Amino acid sequence: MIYFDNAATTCMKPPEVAVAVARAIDSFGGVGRGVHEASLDAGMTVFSARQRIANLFGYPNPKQLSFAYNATEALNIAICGLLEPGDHTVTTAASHNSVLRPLFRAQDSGLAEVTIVPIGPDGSIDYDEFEAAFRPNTRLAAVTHASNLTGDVYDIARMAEIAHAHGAFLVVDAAQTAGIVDIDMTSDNLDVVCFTGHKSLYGPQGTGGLCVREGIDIKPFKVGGSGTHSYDREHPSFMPERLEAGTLNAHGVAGLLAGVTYITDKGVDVIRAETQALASRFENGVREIGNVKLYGGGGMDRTGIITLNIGDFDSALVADLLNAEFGICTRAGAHCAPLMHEALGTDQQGAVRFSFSHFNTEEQVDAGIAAITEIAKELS
Amino acid sequence: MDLGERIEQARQENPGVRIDCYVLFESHTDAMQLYELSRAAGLGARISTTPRQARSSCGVALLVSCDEAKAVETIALDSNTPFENIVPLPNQITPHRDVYC
Repeated sequence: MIYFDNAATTCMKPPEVAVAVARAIDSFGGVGRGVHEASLDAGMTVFSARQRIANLFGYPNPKQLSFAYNATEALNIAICGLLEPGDHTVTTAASHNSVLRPLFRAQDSGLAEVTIVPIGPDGSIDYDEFEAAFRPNTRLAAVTHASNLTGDVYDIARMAEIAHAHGAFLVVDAAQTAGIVDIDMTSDNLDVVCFTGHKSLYGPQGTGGLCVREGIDIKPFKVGGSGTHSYDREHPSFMPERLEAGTLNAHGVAGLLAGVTYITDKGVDVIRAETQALASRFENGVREIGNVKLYGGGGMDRTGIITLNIGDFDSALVADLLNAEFGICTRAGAHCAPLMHEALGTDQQGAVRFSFSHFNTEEQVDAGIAAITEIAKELS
Repeated sequence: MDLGERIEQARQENPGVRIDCYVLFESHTDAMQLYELSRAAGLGARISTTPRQARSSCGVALLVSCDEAKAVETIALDSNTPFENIVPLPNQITPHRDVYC
């Protein structure tokens, strides 16, 4: 099997991730649910993970990092917890459904209005249009750092500056960028960064969270067991427990910590460079194949995603051929990014997404190029 | 009374008994942070349950020698690690305590 679906979930993890999860399964108690050895082992691991991840995002206070089960949950926490009746929100057509659907639900229930900033056919965004979308009652802009369809990276520092100039918060969906693109909450003035653990942070599925700038109060959408203030009727008001309820997935967080430690030891820049080199090799290899259409490239940078179609053939057919005949895993279809597909003109056809990891090899990439060459020939 | 005076008072009220200091927290995350910082500074702190006489919002406390309590307090203040109080109590662990069997 050749795995090129890393934008969905990284399949190849640093070996220490599985070791950490296995050790945790056999030794952890509940985080904050006792002070015996097993609970403290879990508690210190989770605390170390808060430190490591906050540091990865350029934020000095690990208490501002709450864990969730994925980026979707984190985005729901941030968006739903910040909105008040009568608010207006801004997002872009590059957004994943993890941003769009919470906003659409808020709109459909009458809670808030939504303005969607268009994306160009090359995946680019016009920042003047982004600024023009703001209104006096705009409470927040929820934006993706990088498109999960094209890998185009957007200028979140500039978006934060625009949002703040209009008195709004910037909520960043970093699902595609955490671990592979530099994120600095302090220098870029970001308000909330939502991440998932199972993609380029190399953690297990079921891990993720949000890092919230101090002073921003997000109403929790779930309350319950916290391990503290047990006789109070209300959930704790302080971070990180404010946005966490119930027993944490400490087993998963142990693996996430191992993944993030691997990244910080190796360096985000190194991982990005290696991944982009593989993506560029693939792009250059398929660019000249007749009938192959490539998408995106209009962002300020790019993650390890190259998305294509062959003629007008159904993207699902191409992905199925890649899987069945070449053992290559890609992702076809809509990618939970309906507006981005509309922007690219692929909403009917879908597209075949190749998303690379720095664990892939040049030989694998060349096998991918050869497979596309053969399929394009077969379908022509 | 400041911390030193409270420790001294506890010692006078419990002659011949070792006095331990418990740092109390609202959040166990704060306890983890101060534990890590204190250990890194070479202090002998350990995470403990909070004795009933020193109830706090969270059940986790940091047990430190009263001789080092001032240093731990300084670390907490310097690192902006919130804590509720530092409580000197007579040693809670005795090998001659009643044992349920």
